Amino acid sequence: MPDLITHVALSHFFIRSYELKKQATHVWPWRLLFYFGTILPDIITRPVYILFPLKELWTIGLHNPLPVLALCGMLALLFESGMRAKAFAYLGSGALVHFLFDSLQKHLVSHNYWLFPFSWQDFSWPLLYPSQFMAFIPLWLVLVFLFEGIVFLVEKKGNRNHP
Amino acid sequence: MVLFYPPFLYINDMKISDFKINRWVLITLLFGFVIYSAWYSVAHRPWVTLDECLKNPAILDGSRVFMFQEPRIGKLYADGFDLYTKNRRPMRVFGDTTGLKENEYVALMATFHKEGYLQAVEARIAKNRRFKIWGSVIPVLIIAGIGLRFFRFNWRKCEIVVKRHA
Repeated sequence: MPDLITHVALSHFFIRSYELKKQATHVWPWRLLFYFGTILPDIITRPVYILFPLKELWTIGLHNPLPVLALCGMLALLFESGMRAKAFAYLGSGALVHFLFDSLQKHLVSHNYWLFPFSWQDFSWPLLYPSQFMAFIPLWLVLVFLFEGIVFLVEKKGNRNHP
Repeated sequence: MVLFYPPFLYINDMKISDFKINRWVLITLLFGFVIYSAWYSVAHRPWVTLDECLKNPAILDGSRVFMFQEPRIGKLYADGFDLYTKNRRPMRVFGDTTGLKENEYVALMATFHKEGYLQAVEARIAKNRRFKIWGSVIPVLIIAGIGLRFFRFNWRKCEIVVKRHA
């Protein structure tokens, strides 16, 4: 997996593009759920095997789309009734974006079992090693600020033209 | 308490969404699936671990092993290195040591031999692993912090709600 800074920074472009396209307002709670979805697969597995390395095998299955979507469903059901479907959509799509980026990472042996528990087929299109992803962290952060700066300027110009 | 309406599905002309599923039942079912997934990945994985190889060396001689618990390189030799893993004595690995460094985490794929050593097929150091772990804590803390600003838990209804000012 890339580190979580990379995950959140890259997924920021997904959620912001969606928000801009939909011209969404009152976005922060939903954006936050999307970010939470992008880190969810790692925060349910990595701490376990970093703190308890002998339990690593138990985490392999959990770091896959279906179990994580089940977990997103559980979390979504904890929200108030009017929010549940939307909460699941944001959490789930964040998690799926996570798996998309994970599949681009090189490993000696990859564990991207998208069809788990029905198949152990690995879905990877390896581009970079984890350490190589980390070398790009400053670039991702600059791109996020640049993107937000451009969006801010465009919106400001739009407001000036339409008083 | 009702709380979740399943999608429109029909079985023998019966619409499942006519039924209301208690959300705690659904949460329990989903949790069951998560636990099942964790168990399944242990019980039905298509690879062997070093522990299993060491327990049945004759049967698993020649097996490919790639999952190690926190594998670190101990002493480097011209023809290999000592492999340190959690709760186990160091194990000798033979193979090319180009690019490897002592006391670094290593990503290793190796062939197990019943005599009690490993032959490296591929080994590379896991650069900046510690930075990756600690760096990943930052977004978790930020998201948790902002989350507490926007959401609160209603204990009476047992629900997460958006704060009014959010």
